[in-house]
Amino acid sequence: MKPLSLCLVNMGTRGLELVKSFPDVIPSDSMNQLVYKTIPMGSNPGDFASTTFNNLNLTSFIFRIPSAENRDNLASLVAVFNTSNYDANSIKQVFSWVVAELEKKDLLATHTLEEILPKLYKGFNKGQFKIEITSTSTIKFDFPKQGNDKNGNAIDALSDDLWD
Amino acid sequence: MSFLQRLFRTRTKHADITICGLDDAGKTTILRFLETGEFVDTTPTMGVNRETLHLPNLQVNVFDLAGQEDFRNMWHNINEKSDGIVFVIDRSNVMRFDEAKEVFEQTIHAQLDQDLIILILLNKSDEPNVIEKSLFIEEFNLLDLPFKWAVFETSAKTGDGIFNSFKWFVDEFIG
Amino acid sequence: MMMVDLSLIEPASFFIIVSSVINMAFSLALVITLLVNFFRKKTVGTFMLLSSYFLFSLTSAFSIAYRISLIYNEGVMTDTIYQMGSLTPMIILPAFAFLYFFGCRHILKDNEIVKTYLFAIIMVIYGLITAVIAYDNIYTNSLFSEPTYITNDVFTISYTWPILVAQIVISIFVTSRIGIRALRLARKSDQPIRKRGLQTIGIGVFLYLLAGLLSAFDSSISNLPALMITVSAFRALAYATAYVTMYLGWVMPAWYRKMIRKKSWFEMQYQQLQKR
Repeated sequence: MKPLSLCLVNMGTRGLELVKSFPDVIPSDSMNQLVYKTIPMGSNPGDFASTTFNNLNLTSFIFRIPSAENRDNLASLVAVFNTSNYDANSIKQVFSWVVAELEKKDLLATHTLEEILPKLYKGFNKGQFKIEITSTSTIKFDFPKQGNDKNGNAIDALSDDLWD
Repeated sequence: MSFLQRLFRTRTKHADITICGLDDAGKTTILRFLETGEFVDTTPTMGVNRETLHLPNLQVNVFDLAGQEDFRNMWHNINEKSDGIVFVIDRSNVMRFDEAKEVFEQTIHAQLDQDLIILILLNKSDEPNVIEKSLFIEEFNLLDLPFKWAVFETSAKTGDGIFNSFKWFVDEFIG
Repeated sequence: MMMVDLSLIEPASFFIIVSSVINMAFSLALVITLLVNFFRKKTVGTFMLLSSYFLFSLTSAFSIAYRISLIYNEGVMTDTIYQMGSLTPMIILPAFAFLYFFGCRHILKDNEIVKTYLFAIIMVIYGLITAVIAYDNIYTNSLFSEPTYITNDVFTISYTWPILVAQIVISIFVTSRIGIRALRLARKSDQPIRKRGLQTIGIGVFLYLLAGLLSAFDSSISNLPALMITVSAFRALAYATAYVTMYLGWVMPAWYRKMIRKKSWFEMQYQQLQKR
């Protein structure tokens, strides 16, 4: 499961903006569209989004970046693929896990994510990663074979079938 | 037939209102306060948040719009269908008053409905060095507004003024 | 047209018929609301539920027709009445099959092997029941000759019981699993409306199962009128409550959602102010 690129998007003063992409291989016109596709209208921290455009497939995890001085910001970690044949559930699991780990260690910040993006990308290629964030903090992850929330899916599907 | 129609006709009125203002003015925090009655930390709004208030004889659909520049283009699409506008201003951010005034004027001038009700909230009243209400009314030329309007001093952190301001708004709709 | 002399009807039978007719009305109301929901949603799930409860409703109709015909005939069992009674198990099994397949769509986690085996078992039982009923009809020769007048003899009882047991086993298997799983999913759901919807489905399904079991019990104590009338009263109450609960759970009407929805702080403050 090798993504074409990993991106970090957040909300700037004008609107959504790309913080970093690694490797930087996506054409700029596609990138302008991509940033708005990663955090769809009405989405909230904790949501996932998957979409296809310009022959690119992407899955993003939307989360909150805490801030001590200002209000918290909205950001997304994005995996871009040039094929639709990838396991979106694994991507979701990796991104949510990375964000949760950084938050647990009080290291969830835009600059930290910027720094670890290349290592995360290499980890996607190897199927596991070990990232040293500071001299005392390391996060280690083995990619899951499969992981999805069956209960959540069942409730969503039932609600869609009968009520919504 | 008319008797049956009267019998089954719903007496609940519907009103759509939008909350506009610059980014970081406190629009979503106000909406969350209306919902929970307490201060809730928020993140920037992605496009629009929607909340429905079910009041006796009135259902109010509240659309909270993102304040970032890129999103302001879509405001008029929602505003032109709304029955009322809540414009939120961070009264402690003097640096952005001109920008806020410009956006406020653009928003108001795009309105065609003469019956539109406008509620202006001077938010973040709990902060120091805030603009005075009278000065604000003068600066924003509110006395020349061709619509029904009111200005309230609010704080979505302490809840001051939130209930009274929205009560005025709702009462105006109910008539 | 011959009229039934009401004085000939025993109070127990009269009570049972009236309660069955009331239950039938409830059941029809549920079917109609499911039909409306199907036209609104047009999903496979709503169609399966509609089919299932339509068939359940049909069995109630046959059972009432059966009882009324028996009274009309002054207690004498004719072939036609007998065949009417034998149609019930033939309808109820497909009804459970529809319910099971609806459950398999989202609620149950049965894999393809379990689903296939279960469907095969239901079909085998269905086939056996059909064969026995067909054999019985040919044996009594009612399809080809003038009706013969029969009573509840040993032969009737000998195959009624296995059919009843098969129905009970399948109904417990299907409904209790759907009920348990709905209640489990309700516990895991964070959204109040979905949580309450799943809880209501779970409770409704269990009430329906209870009512079904009381029906089975009720038919086995026909020689004890006092007990039968008590059981029938409970059964009628269970059915009525089950139909109302299932309507709330399967359809979730807007007023029910509104009731579940938590009031916002502003709404509560505003209403309090109005009350003053």
